[in-house]
Amino acid sequence: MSYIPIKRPKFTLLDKIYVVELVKGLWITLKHLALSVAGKSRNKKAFNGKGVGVCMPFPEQRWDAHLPEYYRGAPTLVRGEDGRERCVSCQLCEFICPARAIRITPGAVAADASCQKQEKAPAEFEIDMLRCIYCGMCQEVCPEQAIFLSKEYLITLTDRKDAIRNKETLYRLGGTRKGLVNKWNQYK
Amino acid sequence: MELSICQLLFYILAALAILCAFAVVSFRNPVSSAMGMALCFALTAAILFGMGAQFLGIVQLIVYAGAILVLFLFVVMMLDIKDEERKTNGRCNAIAGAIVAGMLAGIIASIAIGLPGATDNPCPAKALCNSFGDLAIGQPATPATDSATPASTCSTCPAAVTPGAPLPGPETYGGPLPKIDPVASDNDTKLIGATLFSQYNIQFVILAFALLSGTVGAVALARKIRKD
Amino acid sequence: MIDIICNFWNDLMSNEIWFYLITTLAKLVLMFAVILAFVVLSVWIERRVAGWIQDRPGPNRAGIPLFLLQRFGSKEKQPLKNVLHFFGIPETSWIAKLCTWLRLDREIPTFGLMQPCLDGGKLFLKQELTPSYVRRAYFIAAPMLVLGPPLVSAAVIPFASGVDTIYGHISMCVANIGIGPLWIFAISGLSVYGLTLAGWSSNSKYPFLGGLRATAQLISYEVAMGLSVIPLLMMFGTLNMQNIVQFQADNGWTLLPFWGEGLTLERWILLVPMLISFIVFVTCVFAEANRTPFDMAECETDLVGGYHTEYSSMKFASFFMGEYAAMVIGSALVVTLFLGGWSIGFGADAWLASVSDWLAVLCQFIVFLIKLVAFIFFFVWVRWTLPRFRWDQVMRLGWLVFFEITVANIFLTAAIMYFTK
Repeated sequence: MSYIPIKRPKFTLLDKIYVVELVKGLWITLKHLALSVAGKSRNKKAFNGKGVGVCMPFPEQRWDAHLPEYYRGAPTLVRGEDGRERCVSCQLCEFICPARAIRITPGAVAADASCQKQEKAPAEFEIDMLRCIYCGMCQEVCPEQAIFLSKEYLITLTDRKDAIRNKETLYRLGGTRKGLVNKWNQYK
Repeated sequence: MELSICQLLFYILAALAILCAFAVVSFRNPVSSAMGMALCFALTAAILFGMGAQFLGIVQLIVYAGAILVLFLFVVMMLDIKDEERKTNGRCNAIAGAIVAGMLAGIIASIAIGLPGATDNPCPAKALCNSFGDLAIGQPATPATDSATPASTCSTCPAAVTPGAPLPGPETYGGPLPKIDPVASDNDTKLIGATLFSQYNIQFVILAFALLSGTVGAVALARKIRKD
Repeated sequence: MIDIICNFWNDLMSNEIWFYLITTLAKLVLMFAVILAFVVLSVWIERRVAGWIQDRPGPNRAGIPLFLLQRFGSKEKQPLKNVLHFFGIPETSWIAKLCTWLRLDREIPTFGLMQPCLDGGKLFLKQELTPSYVRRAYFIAAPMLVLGPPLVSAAVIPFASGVDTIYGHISMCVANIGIGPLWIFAISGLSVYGLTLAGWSSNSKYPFLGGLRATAQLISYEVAMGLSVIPLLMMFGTLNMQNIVQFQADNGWTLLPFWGEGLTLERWILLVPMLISFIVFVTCVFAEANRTPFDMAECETDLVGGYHTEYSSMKFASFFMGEYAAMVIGSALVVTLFLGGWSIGFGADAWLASVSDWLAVLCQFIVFLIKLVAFIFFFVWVRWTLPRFRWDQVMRLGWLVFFEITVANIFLTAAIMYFTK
């Protein structure tokens, strides 16, 4: 049997009259109301609540320290520990992006770059933050581990033009990553 | 001054009501027709309010505009409006409708002429205002048998149509009519209640049974009939 | 000059018609102000209480930001400092600390009361979208038909007793007519046209279903609502709202007969049918105001948004204003019929009236508003407790349970009144 039949509860006459059950429900909500107003809601400590209810008043108090490792915020580009641009402009992320937020203009590797093995480097790398849906597919697909989702979640803009982040901004936000890229790491 | 405002309002409202009634038949869109009818009912209720028949007016609003017409609208909305708008009515229908409407108008006119005070005053509205006015001044509702002053009997009792004819007193059915407090503002409610449940009790009960049988019939028709 | 104005005023008020017109206009303005304020207030109560019940604060941020002052020419960045300096209060004193704690250095706190106003302003400024496929005339008329009736039906609700002035008696009720409750039933029953037409004229299936549900539900519950007040009217013996409240002020509220003739055995036995009436009537008011657990017409889980799916901007807002106005009027009706209306209770009305008419009216008005707020709170409380009923359950409750209960209740009341007299 692929399904489990749920047994419906048998209602007594008192349940069917509904008034008693209604009063019980009202009593529960009233208890919650009284506790919140008194500032003694259950689990308040666990949620770092302040004032009324269990809520953390946002701009004054933040959850940043509790963000999990896998948190998906704004995507950023990273450099290797030698300062090399990891992105090789393969455009996989551009193609996988479901929201089509990424736009890469490939270019030649700069003459003074530390690594001349790669064929291309991004001349321009733009992410439209109004389109990005923070799905993390770019991070997953990247063979060079050049794009990462940061923990940045406060993206407030006053102009649509500001929403497009260029290469410079993305590198500044991403910083550097240590360690070999997985594909060169024989132990992985 | 006061009476002229009262009359003016009556004529404006009556003209608007007739206009709405005309709109009901002339609109092609059935929903527009239904809304015209709703407006017509509301205006009729307003006329009744103007005459001081508050209870009748409010019943008009509750029963007709609030319930029956909403059910109308309910059904009309299910129709294919575009299809309805294309339809044209035959001449036969128009003639038959005109005859029925004319007969109804004749009946209403004959009753209106027979109303107390209708022949003394050129304006029926004034006559009605007067008859209600008398009520408000403090004449306790005279039983219908007392036919000495037909103008002072309330027009909500159709018994006053034929003032001369001896009618069975309300004492024949049930108790005496309750005393009407002349200052209270809900006189007409009490009066209608007293008339309905004493003088016209039998007719009232018969009507109630007719309605009940209609309801039972509707339920029987709508009931799902099991084949097994 | 003042003499001339006084004389003119005297003459004007001595004329019966002008006296009636002026006092009615004043009452009308007061009533509209109170209802519209209560619409805003009930939105705020709804959101705050919803927050508290769900262990969160609710809207508490919207204040009057004081940095706006800077825009209007004040050079000082923090107006609070300016004000403190003006009064010569040092910045370390407890007053300054209290002001900072109240966030007065940033804004004037309103405990979120500004939120409904700001929401209204936002909706007012939003782009108006009218789909091309709607029936335009009815589409525009529908929100008006929803908002209008509740405001009109408030005319018969008495908010205080009367005062005797030198010019004449003023009854604190806009229209003191002899069909009080019926007037409210009739007029608020008309708001169903708005919902139905909104659903139909949107020319789209979900709004249409919402409109049909609204129609069916409102008609069904109007029957039980009308029948459930009949026992009360039998007890009061009048349909005039002012007299109904006066009766309760003299003889004890319908549900709390603790003074006057309420102490008789008959009234205590009558409490049983009154309680049944109360439960049925309150449930019907919930259904008539389209509130949870009866908000079948705008049930977002199966109808997207119900009859207002295609609406935007201020038209959308006016549907909700209409709904909250209906809630306020429904609460006022319940308070008037069952909880004594403006009456303060325990014979305090007569005592206050013997001291001063105006004082009595003021106190009664305040008491009425307090009762109103309490009942609006009850509305909200029930909304955040009960889940929505299923459509067939709503219909069965209306026709198979309430209809029978109310009819039986009428006979029960009649029997009690017959045998205890």
